[in-house]
Amino acid sequence: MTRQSRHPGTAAAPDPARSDHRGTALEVFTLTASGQAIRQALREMHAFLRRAGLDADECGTAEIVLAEVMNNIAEHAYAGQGVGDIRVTLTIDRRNLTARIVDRGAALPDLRPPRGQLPGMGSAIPALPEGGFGWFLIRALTSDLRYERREGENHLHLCLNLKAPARVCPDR
Amino acid sequence: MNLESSQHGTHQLITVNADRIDAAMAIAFKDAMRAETADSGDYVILDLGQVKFIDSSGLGAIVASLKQMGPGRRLDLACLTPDVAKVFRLTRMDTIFGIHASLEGLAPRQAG
Repeated sequence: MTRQSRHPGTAAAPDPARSDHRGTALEVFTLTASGQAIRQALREMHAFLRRAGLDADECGTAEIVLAEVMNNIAEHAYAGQGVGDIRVTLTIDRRNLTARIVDRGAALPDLRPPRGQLPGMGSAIPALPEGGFGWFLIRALTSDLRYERREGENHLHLCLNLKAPARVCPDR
Repeated sequence: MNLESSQHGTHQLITVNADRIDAAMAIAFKDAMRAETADSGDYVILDLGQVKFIDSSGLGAIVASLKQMGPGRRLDLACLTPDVAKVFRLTRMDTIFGIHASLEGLAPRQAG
């Protein structure tokens, strides 16, 4: 797990003088596609988002989406081998969290993200679905989702709308 | 997978002593739940109060825990934290499980 911040200031402890607004921030996370590495990366991404000014609800939503995307890469693109790299670039501006996720595993079927419909749920407990929720959650929680297969790489681009940043000190 | 189990009158309470149920531990969770519920009564409550994060694999493992208990038995959930509640609500699994906001009123007071 390596991290690279293009804006070194965003990786430091929050500056109280800047706490009245959410600035822009960008950070790149590179990890191996294994369960333990994904868990560790999610903790670091969550901490980064919190420092960048997202509230607890937004951080939670982002963590769910990023977990599902990376789990899918580990399980399907890299076929659960526990090897292969994932690179995640998170960008925050005043309105959006944008994530670009790149891997070199197998392409998505039909070269597009699955529709992600909620699995059918009858009333019978033995027939309840135990899987198939991943893409549903990704689609339910993101506002934009684009996929490209390029030079042996999968590029997934997604966006989460953020609430307007709280302004503690009105600047008028 | 650290689960803690105790009997409270009509129900067995299983507490998850972990802050996440994710893809890395979903199978271990399901196996531990199978062991804990193998000889228990018909009514089990799963206390998720310490679990701050769940992904779709963790959700699937909880559904599997209900299914492997077999017919005529009930698995309720208690103390869902906000991000866990969000996953259950979005997937509508909150309509399948009985959900308790807290453990208050669930356990009969022990006499003496």
